[in-house]
Order: sequence, then C-alpha cells, then structure tokens
Amino acid sequence: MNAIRHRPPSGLADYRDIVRRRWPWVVLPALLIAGGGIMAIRHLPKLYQSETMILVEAQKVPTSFVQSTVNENTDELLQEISEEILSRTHLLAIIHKYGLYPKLNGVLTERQLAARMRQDITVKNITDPTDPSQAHNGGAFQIAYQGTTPRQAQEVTQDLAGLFITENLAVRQQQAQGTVQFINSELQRAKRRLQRESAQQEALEKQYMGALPEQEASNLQQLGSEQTALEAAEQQAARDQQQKTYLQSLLAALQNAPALATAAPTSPLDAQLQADKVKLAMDEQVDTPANPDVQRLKREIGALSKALAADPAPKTAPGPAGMSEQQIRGELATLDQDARWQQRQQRRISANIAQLRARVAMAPAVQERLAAVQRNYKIATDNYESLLKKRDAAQMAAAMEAQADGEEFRVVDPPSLPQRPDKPAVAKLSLLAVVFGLLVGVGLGLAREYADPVVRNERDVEYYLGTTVLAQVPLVLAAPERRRQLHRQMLVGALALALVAGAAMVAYLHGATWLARMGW
Amino acid sequence: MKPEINSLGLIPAKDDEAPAPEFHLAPRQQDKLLALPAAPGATVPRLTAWEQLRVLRTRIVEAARDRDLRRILVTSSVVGEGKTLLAANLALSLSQLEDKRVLLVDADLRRPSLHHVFGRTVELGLGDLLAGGPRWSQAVIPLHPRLDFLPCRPAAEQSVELLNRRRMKDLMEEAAAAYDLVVVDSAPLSPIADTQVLVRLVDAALLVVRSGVAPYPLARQSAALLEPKLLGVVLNGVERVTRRDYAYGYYAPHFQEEAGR
Repeated sequence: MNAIRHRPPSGLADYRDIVRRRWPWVVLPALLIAGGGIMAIRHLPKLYQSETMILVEAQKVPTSFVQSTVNENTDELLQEISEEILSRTHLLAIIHKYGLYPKLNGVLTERQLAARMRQDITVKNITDPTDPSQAHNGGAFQIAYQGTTPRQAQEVTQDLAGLFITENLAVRQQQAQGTVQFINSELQRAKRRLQRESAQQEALEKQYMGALPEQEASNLQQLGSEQTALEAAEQQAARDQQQKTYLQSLLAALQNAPALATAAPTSPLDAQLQADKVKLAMDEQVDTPANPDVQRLKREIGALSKALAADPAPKTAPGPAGMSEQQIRGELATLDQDARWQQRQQRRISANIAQLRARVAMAPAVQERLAAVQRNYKIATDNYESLLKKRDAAQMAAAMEAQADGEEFRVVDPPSLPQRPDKPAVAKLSLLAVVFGLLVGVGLGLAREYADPVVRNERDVEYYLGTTVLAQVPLVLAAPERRRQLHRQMLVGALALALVAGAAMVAYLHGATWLARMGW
Repeated sequence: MKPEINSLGLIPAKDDEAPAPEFHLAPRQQDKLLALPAAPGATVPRLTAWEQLRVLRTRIVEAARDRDLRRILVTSSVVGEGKTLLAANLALSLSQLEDKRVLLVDADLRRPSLHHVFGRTVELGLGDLLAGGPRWSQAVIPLHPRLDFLPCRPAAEQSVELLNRRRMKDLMEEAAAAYDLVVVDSAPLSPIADTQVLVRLVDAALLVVRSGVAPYPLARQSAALLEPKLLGVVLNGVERVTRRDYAYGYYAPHFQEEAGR
C-alpha cells in the first residue's frame, strides 16, 4: 500500500481542533519562554545614555596661505581617532576610573571588558550640510555612552569628548610631522638622484667633447678650412714639382751642352732662342727629328735667329737659363726641403679632416644619448624643486598644527544628563519574548501534531479511508473517570505553573548575567 | 408553477421503540450501556452518544431495507478502539425496535469480553459450539425478549481454525434465519487473521475507528480488507462534544425528558 501523506488542515475547524488538542504544547513553552524572558528583561540593568555634540572647526589660517597636510574628511578622521580612543588601553583607564561593569569585572577578561564598553559607545557623524553653523566648518559628530546611572553616563561621555579633542590635536600634529619627515626623506633621495644624473651628464659631455651637438657647426666649418688648406698644399706641391722638373731638365741640359752654360743671353730674344735650343737639344735626345714638336722648335729657332740677326742690340739682363749649375742645384735643394714640409703638412691636414669627419658622423648618436641624459636630469631637477616647495609647505602646516591653529574639535552641546533609562526597551523586548515563545510553542504543537498519524474526525475518515462515517460516538467518561481526568489536569497545571515559576526565578536571578555574556 | 400536492391521509405519530430493557448491573457497567436511556442529569456526551447510536441504528435499518442485511460484523483496526462496547450498544439499540429480534455474538475467540459488559459468566460459548458441542441455542443467553447473547470463552490457540470450520458458517446461517439481525463482535483486524475469516460469513461490516487512537495507515488497510462489505465507519471516542457540534441544544428538552423516563 502506498504511503499516504498527512492530511493538511483544510479549514478553521481543523485549526480549532489542533489548538484544542495541542494547546498545552503551545501554551507551556510560550509561558516558559515569555515568562522567563520577561523576568530576565525586567531584571536587566537600566542603561542611561548621555550624548554630546562636537563641531569640527575649520583651521584658523586661511587655506590659501597654508594648506593642511592632515586628512580633512570627517568620516575618515573620526574613524582614525575612534580607533585610537576606543583602544583597550584608553577604555580600561576609563573603566577603572569610574568602576564600570563591576559585575563583569571578574567574569570577563580585560579585552572582553573593553569590547563590552565599546558596545556602549556610539560615535556618529551627524554632519548636516544645510546647517549654517556647520557649513563653514568641517561638520559635526555625536558621542554617546550608555551607563548604569545618569551621572556615570554623563561623566564618561565628558571624558570621551575630552579624549576626542586632545587626540585630534595629537593626531593632527603627528600627521603633519609625519608628512614633513616623509617629504624630507623623499627630498634626500631626489637630491641623490639629481647628483647622479648631473655626474652622468658631465661624464658624457667629457667623453664626447668636440663631437657635441653644439660643436657640429664649427666642426663643419673647420672641416671646410682644412679641405681648402689641403687643396692649396697639394697645388703648391704640384707647382714645386713642376719647378723641380724644370730645374732638373735645365741642369741636365747644362751638363750635356756646357757652351750653353757660358754664353750668356744678351736680350730676351736671345734668351728665348737659347732656351728653345736647350729644349730642342733635350727633345732630340728622346724624339726623332720628324717629331712635330722638334720640327716646330726648329722653325721657332730659325725665326728667332733671323730676328736676332736683324736687331742684334740691345743686350739686357740674363734669364733663368742664365743660372749657373750651382744656383740650380741650390734651388733644387730648397724645393726638396719645401716638398718634405708640404708632405708633413698634408698628412696633418688629412688627419684633421678624418677626425672632423668622424666627429660630424657621430654627432646624431651623441645627441640622442645626451638628450636622454639631459631629460633624466631635468626630471630629477623638477622633482627636487617640487619636493623643496612641498617641504616648505609641510613645514608651514606642521608649524600651524603645532600652534593648534589647524582644524580642531569644539564641544557644541555638552554631555547631557539623561532623565530616564534608554535601555532596556522593556515593552519591545517583552513583546519579542512573547512572540518568540508563541512561535516555539506553535512549532512544538505542530511537530507533535504531525508526529501523531491517527484518525481524529470525520474529515480524516473521508480523507484517509475514503468512506463515510455512519455515526460519531463521543467519549463518555463515568464519574470516577471524570474525577481522575480532572485530577490529572490539575496536576499538569500545577506542574506547568511550577515550571514557569521556576524558569522565571532562574531568569530573574541569572538572566542578566547570561544576557550580558551573550552581548546584550 | 406550483405543484399540486394532495393529502392522502394523516399518519399518527408512533414510537416504534419498545420500553428499554432493565439490566441488573453495577453502576459502572450500567454507564457503559449507552444505548440505554440516560439517567436524569446525564452529561452532554452521554446524551449525544445515545443519540448517535440511534442514528447508527436508523442507518443500518435503512440499509437493510434495500438488501439482505442480517449479519453485521463489528470490528476495528487495533485493540482498544471500543468495538465490543459499540457492538453491545448497537445490539441493544436495535433490540429496542419492536419488530427486531437481535442476536449478539461474541466472536473474539482470543479475548472475549462481551459477557463482562452484561455482567454474565460463560459456561458454554461459541468456541465450544464450533468444537462440536451442543446446539448453539443451548449456549445463547437471553438478555431481553428481543435480544439474545451468544458469549464466548477464550480459545486463542485455535481461533482461526475454529472460525474456518463449516460449523461456523452453518451457525451464522442458522442465526440469520432465526433472528432479524445478528451483531458479531470480533477481534481487531490487525495483526490477526480471525476477523478476515468472519468477513466472508457476514452481510456487512462496521469499522470502529477510535478518534486519536487508530493509526490511519492501519485504518486504511482495515477498510480495504473489509471491502466490499464495509457498510461504513463508526467514529468512536470523539473527545470534544458540545451542544453546537450535534445541534443538541435544539433538542435538549426532548433529551432531558427521555433521559428522565
């Protein structure tokens, strides 16, 4: 046979029957939990909350003159200061000063005690941009503390407010000093870098001296001069060589025709004639008589001879051909000496030209390297100068904070003296206890109901058996049975009452401690 | 159009019930016979039980008009659902009708208890008859001019075998012939087989289901075993009874009057 599901309640009558059957399962846990809870709640220590409002005042020196180096965001500032003030050390000092949480003193550790006190402190940013008093300042925040007496709450709040004010100044000064120190250390580092970049630039300039980009124009100019000088030297050498050749030929002619050497020319025509004769003599030694040059020279000699015969006078100064052999040799020696000097000069100029060309060729690469080094140097310089400015500003801001002229806290509303307890919210918590108790009771009742798979009424018969009910005979108890049932019910009732009373008593005696341990 | 209704005649009111039988029982036992008129000052459940037994009786009589229904088995799923008391009260209630002779048979061979209800001792019972004893009429105890009782003595070891005998079938047929109605109290259906034997020998079966006691898986199984002879379910031991539940309040004066009779 297939398993059949429990019949779900289908109407008000079913729910009514369930309640009639299971009411003890609902009522007893509900009574136990609600009763115990209410007793414990009523026994909870009363907590009074004192509040104070603190304004975050803007710095006294205009920000256009001195820019603060401290965090200006109220939320972040509060967070930072709160962490410091709500530290275990600070809170334990307050706990010992006012003897707070005497019942928990031996129960909880110091860390737990501080955590417990932290739960009673509220720091809330209540900045209202629409509030004119806050508009020109950095906002406002509220500090609240819940204590067991109104006076205690007020005093602790007062201490906390004082701590916030002094801690704010300390934190600001510390932050300003920290900023200065940081910038100083950065400045030292920037300085070292600047020196390093400068040395690198100097070394590079030294290494490529003469090939630096700014020397390129002079190099090119010098190169042109050297090339001109080289050409002049080469031309001079050519002329000297020509003169040397001439003198050598003259010397050779003198050695071959000594008469020529004794007859001195008397006029230019005579000198021309003698020279042509010397040249003819030289050409005839190397060329045939039919050579056109030889023939031309012979015709010129004949013409000159005729002209000279027609005009024998006057006799003038002698020409080169009139030089003596000794003079020619002296001249040749001088030419040789000049030629050696010219050669040295050409080598020097050629070397200079090669060097200048090399410098001009490497100029782009040098320029690139130098640009990189100069760029790094400029960056380092800019960074260093920027840090110098920042250090000055930070030192000024630190001085401002040291004189307490920066942003500071000012108590606007002094800590209040609470007139009535803020906690526990007895009505609310009691209602919660009742609701929770009822929920537990209903849960238990339903669990009990569903754990009992029996037929109860006509609807069950129709649902489970699929047949009709002919009659419903009620449970008839005889008088003694009725009395026994009544006694049983009274006994159960008395036990339930005793149970509730016991739970309430336990809750009354120990509930507060338990709730406190649970963090309530 | 309004139908025209002709009056054929007046039927005088007639109570077809015979006067209630008188049993000389201890008060505790007397309390269990719910079919008997309640004493003055009886509780609402007591009066409601009496009324519900009359309702049950009427439904059985009405069912008997349409078919041959003489042998009625009263059983339950498990022990303790009140089938014996219901069988006794049903028989008692039926016997209060003037034209009905009723035989109440205790067929629970394992734990017979009907005789306790009527404060009788058993010298000869159903088991003896099935085992080959004298005629069944010798074992019958007359409780009332229209109500006889066939008791039983325990015979648990051979109960199924005895009930399976031909003699049992003959006995049931003879009883059906001799009485207008035979009410058979039997053992529960679970976990024994006795009642399943008896189902074959009766014309109809009533399944007693005690509220809050009968597990519905077993009750469902029992109903399936009794099909197709299952006449219906009698829901017994209904805990919460108010005047509103059974419209008792409307008839309260009448009940009080009858209870005082």
